[in-house]
Amino acid sequence: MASIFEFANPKRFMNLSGAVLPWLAAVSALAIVIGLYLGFTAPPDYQQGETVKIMFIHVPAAWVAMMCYGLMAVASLLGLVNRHPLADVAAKTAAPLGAVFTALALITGSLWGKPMWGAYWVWDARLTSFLLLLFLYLGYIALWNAIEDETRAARAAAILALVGVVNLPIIEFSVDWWNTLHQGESIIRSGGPLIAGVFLWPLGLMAVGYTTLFFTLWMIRIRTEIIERRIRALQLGIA
Amino acid sequence: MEAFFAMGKYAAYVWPAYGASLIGLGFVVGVTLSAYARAKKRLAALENGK
Repeated sequence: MASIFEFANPKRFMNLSGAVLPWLAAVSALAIVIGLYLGFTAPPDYQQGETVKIMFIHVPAAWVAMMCYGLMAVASLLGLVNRHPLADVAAKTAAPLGAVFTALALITGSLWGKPMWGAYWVWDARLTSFLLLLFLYLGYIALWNAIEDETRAARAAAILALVGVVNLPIIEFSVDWWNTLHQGESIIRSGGPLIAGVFLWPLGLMAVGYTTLFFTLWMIRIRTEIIERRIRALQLGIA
Repeated sequence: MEAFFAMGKYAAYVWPAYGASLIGLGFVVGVTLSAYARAKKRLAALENGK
C-alpha cells in the first residue's frame, strides 16, 4: 500500500524535495509580486481607508502561523506514535518558521489596531490566544534546546506541541465565542466571502505566496537537518 | 507618488507593517539559506576528505 511513509524515507525526501523546491519558490515569488502589485493598486477601503493594505500581509501571516502549528502537531504525533525520525525533524524545523510568522501577524495586527481601534494592543480573546501561540512556539524551541539527547528532546517537545493544539480552535473561534474587537471570519464562510474582489484577489495571492514560501523554507530546513545528521554520522564513523 | 507614500494619512502604520514583514521574512530566508549552504559545504568537504 502506498502511504505517506514512502516519502518519509530521508533519501526519497531529498530527491522529491529537490525536484519540487525550485517550482515552489518560483510560485511563491510570483504570487507575492503580483499580490503586492494588486494590493498597492487597490483602492482604499470605504471604512478602513488605506489601512486595508495591512490586511494583505496580516491575514496571510496569521494563516500560515496557525497552519504551521497544525502541521507541527501532526508531525509530532507521527514522531511519537510511529517513531519516525523524519517526522521529528519536520516538527523541529517548522517551529522557528511558525514563530516568525506568528510574530509578524502580531506586529502587523497591532499596527492595524492602533488606527482602527485606537490601541496597539488589547487583552481580548483573539489577540491573547495568538500571543499564546507565539509562547508555545518559543517554549517548543526552548525545550528542544534544553534536552541534549535528541530522542528524548523530540518526545518532550512533541508532547508540548500536542498539548498546545487545544489553542488552535480557541484562536479560530475566539471571535465567535467572546466579545472581541477583532472582526469575525470574512473570507471562508457560508454565504461566500464578505470582501470585495479588489481586495480578495491580492489577499488570495498573498496567502498563496506566504503558504508556498513557508513550504519552501520548511523543505530547505528539513534538508539542512538531514545533511547535518549525515555529517554527524560520518564524523562518528571517522572518529 | 507623494499620495502613494502618504497612504491616506496612515503612512505611520502601513509602512512599518510592511517594513517589519520584509525584515522578518528576509531574516528567516537568510538564516535558512545560509545554514543550508553551510551544511552542504561541510558534507562535501567530509565526503571528499575520505
